[in-house]
Parts: sequence; C-alpha cells; structure tokens
Amino acid sequence: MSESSKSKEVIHFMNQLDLASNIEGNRLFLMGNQALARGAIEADARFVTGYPGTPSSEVIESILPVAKSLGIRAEWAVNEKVALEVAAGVAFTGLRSLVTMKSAGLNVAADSLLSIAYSGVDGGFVVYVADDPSCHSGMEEQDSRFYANLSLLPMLEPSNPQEAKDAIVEAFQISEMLKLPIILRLTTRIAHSSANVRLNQIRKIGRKPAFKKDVRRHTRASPIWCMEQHQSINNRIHESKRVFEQLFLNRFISKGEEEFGIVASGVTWNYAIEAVEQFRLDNVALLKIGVANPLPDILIKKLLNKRKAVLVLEELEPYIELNVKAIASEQETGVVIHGKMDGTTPRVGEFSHETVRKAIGKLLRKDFTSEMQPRKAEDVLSVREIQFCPGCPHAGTYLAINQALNRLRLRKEGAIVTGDIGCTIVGMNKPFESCWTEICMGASISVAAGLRYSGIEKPILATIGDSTFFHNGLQALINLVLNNIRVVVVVLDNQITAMTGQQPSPSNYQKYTGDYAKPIKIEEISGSFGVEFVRVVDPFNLKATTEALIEAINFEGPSVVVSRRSCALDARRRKIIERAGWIDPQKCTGCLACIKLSGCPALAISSDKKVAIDESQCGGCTICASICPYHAITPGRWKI
Amino acid sequence: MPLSCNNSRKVEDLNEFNVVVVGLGGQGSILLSQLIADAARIEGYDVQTAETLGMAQRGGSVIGFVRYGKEIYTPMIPEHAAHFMIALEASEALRAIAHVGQSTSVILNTRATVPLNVVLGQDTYPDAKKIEIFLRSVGAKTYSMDATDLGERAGDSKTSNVAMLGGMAALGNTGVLVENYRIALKKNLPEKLLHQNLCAFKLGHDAVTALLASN
Repeated sequence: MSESSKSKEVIHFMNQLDLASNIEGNRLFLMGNQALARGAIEADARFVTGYPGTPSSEVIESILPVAKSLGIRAEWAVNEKVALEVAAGVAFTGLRSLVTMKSAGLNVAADSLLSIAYSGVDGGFVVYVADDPSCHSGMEEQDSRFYANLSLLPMLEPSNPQEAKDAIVEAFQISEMLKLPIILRLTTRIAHSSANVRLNQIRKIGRKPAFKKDVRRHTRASPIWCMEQHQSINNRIHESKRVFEQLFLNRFISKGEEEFGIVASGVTWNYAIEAVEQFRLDNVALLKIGVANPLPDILIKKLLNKRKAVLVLEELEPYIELNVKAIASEQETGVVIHGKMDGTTPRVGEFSHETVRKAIGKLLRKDFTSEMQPRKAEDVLSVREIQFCPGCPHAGTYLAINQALNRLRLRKEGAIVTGDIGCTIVGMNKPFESCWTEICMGASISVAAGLRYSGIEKPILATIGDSTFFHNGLQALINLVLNNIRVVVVVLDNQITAMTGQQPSPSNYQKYTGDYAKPIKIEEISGSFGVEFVRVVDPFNLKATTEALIEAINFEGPSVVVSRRSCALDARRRKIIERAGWIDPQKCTGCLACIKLSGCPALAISSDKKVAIDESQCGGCTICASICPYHAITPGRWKI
Repeated sequence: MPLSCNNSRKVEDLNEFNVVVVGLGGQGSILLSQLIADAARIEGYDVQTAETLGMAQRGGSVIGFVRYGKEIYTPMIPEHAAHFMIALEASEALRAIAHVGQSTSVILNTRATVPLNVVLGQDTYPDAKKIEIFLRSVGAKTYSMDATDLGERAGDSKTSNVAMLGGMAALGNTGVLVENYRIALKKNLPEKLLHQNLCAFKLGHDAVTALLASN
C-alpha cells in the first residue's frame, strides 16, 4: 500500500461523548444509526423520541448520553404511534423534532402519519424508519417506501453513514421549506454498518416555540378543508420536484453514449459501483436514486435515453422499477428494463455482491459470477436456535407453564399458548416449545380472545412481555374484560425492553430516567380494568408460579398472572447476581433433567457424563436447582 | 473487460482486505471486529464494518464483516473473498462458509459450544477435525487453537477473542503492523482489563507463530 493512500486526517473511534463534539472536519467512525444521531444534533433537533426496534434503536441510544449537555429532550415512548404524535406536537410549534422506529413500528404509527401529513409542520420533522430485508431481527420484510406513496410524503434513502448524516440535516431543512414531515429510510445493512463520517458544525437555531390556532389546517372533520389539505400536499410536492431531483442523494454518472444503464438505490448502489469498478464496466451509465419520493423523473429519462437495456437494482418490491417502466413506456424508446418483474433479481431477501453481479451479467450478457460454487455446510451443521440467557426469568415462567399443564394432565397440545413480540417468544423454542403464535405487538391477547370465541374449549394462555404489554397489549386486555373472555394473560415482567438492547419499560421507567415517572404496576391497572383474578409471582419460585397458573387456568373469566423478575442481563450489569449455582458431582446422576427442562446454556455435560455449571456463564438463578430430582444443585443467589 | 471474475486473487495484489468474524452472542465478536477495524484505521486504511446484531444477546450466531483498503464502498464481503476468518466457535465457521475460498486463512477456536438440540441427543455436532477438513476442502488454510484455554491462561476466558486476534496478527500478511493491534487494544480497552488482554494477544500470537514454524 502506498503512503499516499494513507489518510492524514485525525480519525477518532467513537466514544459516547464524541457525538456532541463540535470540531468541523473531524472524522468519526460511525454506524449508520449513529450518523443519523449526529446529523440530528448538527441540525439542532430539540426533541427525539421513538420505540426501540432493531435495526433503528441506536439513534436514540446515541443521543441519550449527550442529550442533557446539548439541551435536547430525548426519550423512549410507549409505542411508535404515541412517539410520532408527541414528536409532531413539538414540530407544530416550529422546533425541530425526530421520531425513530423499525418497519413494523411505522404500521403502528401509520394512522397518525397520514393525518399529520395533512396538517403539515412548522419545525423540521423527520420520521426515521429502518427496514430489514432478510429479516435479521425477525418480523416481515416490509418495504416501507410504499408509505411515502400512501402518505404522499417525501422519502430520502441514503446509501452509507456519511450520506445518512448529511441527508438528515437536509431533511430538516426541506421539511421546514415544504412544511411537511420527511421520511428517512435505511435498511439494516446501512443502519448497522460503520464507516468514517466527516462532521459539520452543530448549528444553533434558537427558535422560540409558537403554536397558532388554525383549525382549517389542524382538523379533519370538514370534508372541504380535508380535500384542501390533500390538494396542498400535492401542490407542494409538485412545485418542489426540482429541489428533490437535484438533491445530492441522486447522482447520474454518464459520458453520454453508453448502451446500457443501471439504476440503483440504498445499499445496492454500493454493490453496483464496486462491480463497475472491479470489472471496469465503461459501457454503462449509472443512476443512483437517493430520493424514493418524489422520484427523479428527469434523471430517469436521461438514463433511459438512447440505452439498449437498463437494469433496476433495489431490494424487496419493484418500487422504482414500476416507475421506470412507466416513464419508459411514455418515451416509447423500446429500451428493455431488467429487474424483479422479469426475474433478473429476487423480491425476497437482501441483495449481495453476487445478486448484483449476476444481474449485471444478464444486462451485459457476460458472466461476472465466481468460478467457485458456494459450498453448503447444512448437512454437517446443527441448527442453533436462540435461547434464553442463563439466569433469564422467562425460562422459569415457561417451565412453570409446562408444569402447570402437566399437573392438569393436559397433553402437549391440550392447551394453547399464544406468544408475542420480544424475548418472550423464545418460549417457542426447545426445550419449552410452549408458544404457538407470534403476530405483532399485543396480539397474543386479542388472538387468544378470538380462539376462545370460536368455541375451542382448551385452556388458552397468552404470554407477553411488559414492554409489549404497555405498547399495545393494554387495549386487548380491556377487550377481554369487556367481553368476559376466559383467557390467562401471563405478563413476563422483566422490567425492561430486553430484546432490543435494554431500553426502559413503563414498569420500571423511573429507574432509568431518574425523574419522569413512577413505575406503572401491571397488577394494579389489570385490577382497575376489572380483572378479578390477578396474581404476582416470582418465576424463580417454580412451585408458587406453577400453582398460581393452575388457579388462573381454572378461573372462569379473564385472569392475569404477572411473573416478575429483572432481566438477567440487567441483573448482571447491576451486579445483583451474588453467586453461581453449584452441582455436587457426588449427588449428580447424569439424568440430565436440568438441561432437558431448563435448556440453560450454563449447564454442560462434563467428561464423566455428569452435569457441571459453567460459573462464568451462570446467571445465579435457582431454576436448575428446583428441577433436580436428586437435590444435587446448590442454587445461585441474587442480592434482591 | 474481463469475461469472468476470479475472486481468489492473492492478498498482495489486493486493494482491500476482507475479514469475517463469526461466533455466538456474548463471545466478544463485536469488540473483536472493532479492534480489527481500529488497528486498520491506525495503519491508515479506509475501513468499513457491518454486524448482524439482531439476536446477538440470545446466544445466537453472530457474523461481522471488516473491510479495509484504499477505498471501501461497502463492508459486505463477496462469496469466497474473505482473506481472514476468525471463528470464535468452531462450527460457526461453517455457517459463513460461502465467504471462505482459496485465499482464506481461518483462525479456528477448537472449543465447541454445543447447541441444545445436540445436548438433547436430537442432532449431531461436527468435531473440530471435521470442521478443519471441510474448510480445507474449499481451499482455506486453517490455524486451530484452543482460544478459550488461552484466554483462561491470560486470566479470563472472555479474552479468547483477543487471543485469536493475536493469532491473526501473527500471520504477518494482514497489512497491519502487530504494534498497531496493540495500540488498538490500548485505545479500546479499559485500563484494568488491558494487561490480561495483552497477555491473551501474546498467547494467541505465539500459538500461530508455532503453527507456522511447524509447517
């Protein structure tokens, strides 16, 4: 490597507080989400909220440690709909505001988004949504670009962390210019990729909040006003098409006479330029589309003009391709369009270098794929299901559910357990295999109600985590009570939003924020809704938890069992795990009941076919000890 | 214009270095990727990294990519194009087998974390020998070590990731000076953990140096 290619600039690895540093031109090594956080800081966003969801959560997590010093109010909301509305309220007053969520969250917030679009905003308002092609974190492969069409709102789609930072700053400005919310979309591969990002100065806008009463703009009850608002959005988007067309996120690279063209967006652009460079493709004009709405019609026409064939590279649905085809058919140039609709690229799963090379090969009638065939190792590999962490209280709850059903002499499918989003769904895996369904936040309770209505007479239990319960389970519980539906709601209350990285939950909010709120007790609100059977249990106490569940199953009406213990990861961090468990090798018979029933990763079979506890992994719970039929295990202990 | 692509170019000819880090949630793969990236940055390269973080806390498979060189467009690594792979858990190397090719050197931790269904006797698990043979069958070079043991010898089994970093550094063809890995360790680790990590780094470095000498 030559000396000249070495960067001379000072580059820093991220330290939490660097994100607030105000040295223009410095470079930080930032993840896409951290870059968005920095951009929001540079643009002087005054309020940031959202609901945790992979791969979007790091934006708020990066802002939280520096929020106070910058005078930003940053917080986690109870769900995405509430978050979007609170953030919009701030933007109504002229201050800049950001809301973040994963793709599924935008569905929850969609009702508000479409309405707030009609009102518009005075302060810059950015709605960040992170899509997840290939489902790295579970949930559907949703293509949120269609929300731009549905809400009529502009949508920006940067391709790397640097663009992400610059795009969000731009988004705040355009939002104020058009008085419209702007949606910014990333996918996992950009949100969770890190690269050097050049910083700009943190601007201070110093605006005073003001909210003018204007019912013609801020209400929907009058059809005439509503249609005026609708027309107004269309006009504003139409009039600003050139602004979007010329935005730095769109790029057209052509010498003029290339026979072929490639349109790429988001992460596919990176694969495309790497292929163009590696294979020295000089007969190809390139169009990068970084604005998903409104699409750059003029640039698309330029790209199509005089080409023989054009390839559209985009993950998930043929969103750009449909528009490119529409423009091509207007022009009647006979250009061939390759993409999803002719099967050149897949509609399912994220793209890779190989997807893109194969597609470019088809466009140019050449072969850019590797000579080597990829080897598959599935036949020698065993499946590695996600499991509960050692010390996880949920393991105790699911074990108690299984034991309760056993004691009621119900066979494996003799009772239905509906599951929900978050760590609690791990109960569907071995060794518990309890959960039957996972739909969306809160649906465990409402789907259970429907199953009951159908006339099914088996016991029906709904398992749901505390954060999920507050997010969207509350309404479903009220519905159970209103209709007196016999379902056992088991709330696995680990007092945290665990799966997305330990964000606060309303059941223990004040511990994290210090001053905002008192903990909201699930047993108290359930009781006040009118649930007549409510029990609080400790999942480390297997016997009592099992008995409470049996009682709940026998109760004729809606019942709630709150199974409360801190998340094991949180307990580890707070150092409340006092000691690990210990197995007496003299007493262990090697029956493996502890492993078979708890599935705890800290339990391992030693060379003499007995079980030993890996102390470095042990979460100090008591579950394996309560299982052991030979009393060979001294349980671990927590301080509280 | 080349008609076909050959990904198995020699490391010296390359504009970029491709590193894949595989392991299980909790094994320190994210810190390891960060150390590799930072050492490359100290060396003066353009660097990008990508992680799959979705299920990392639940003992699930984790795969990380680090790419460095003159100019990097994406951290994602093409098939067969890894120059280095660090497998913090032996069988996890096979889960990322698509990235392994003739120019891949695999640093393999022989210590297994056996999946639950194997413990329950419902599936089988490949031993380290079988994994090595599989990796060699696609043309990779393998350097095996009991990194968990090296970590324990350094004072904490959790430093096994840094022991494996030492192993990679010992190969001598990563384009990054050994000293820069040590600087990255000093920059990224808290004072009280530094000594044992430097110790683990040395143990891993020595282990691969010995393997290279015996070949």
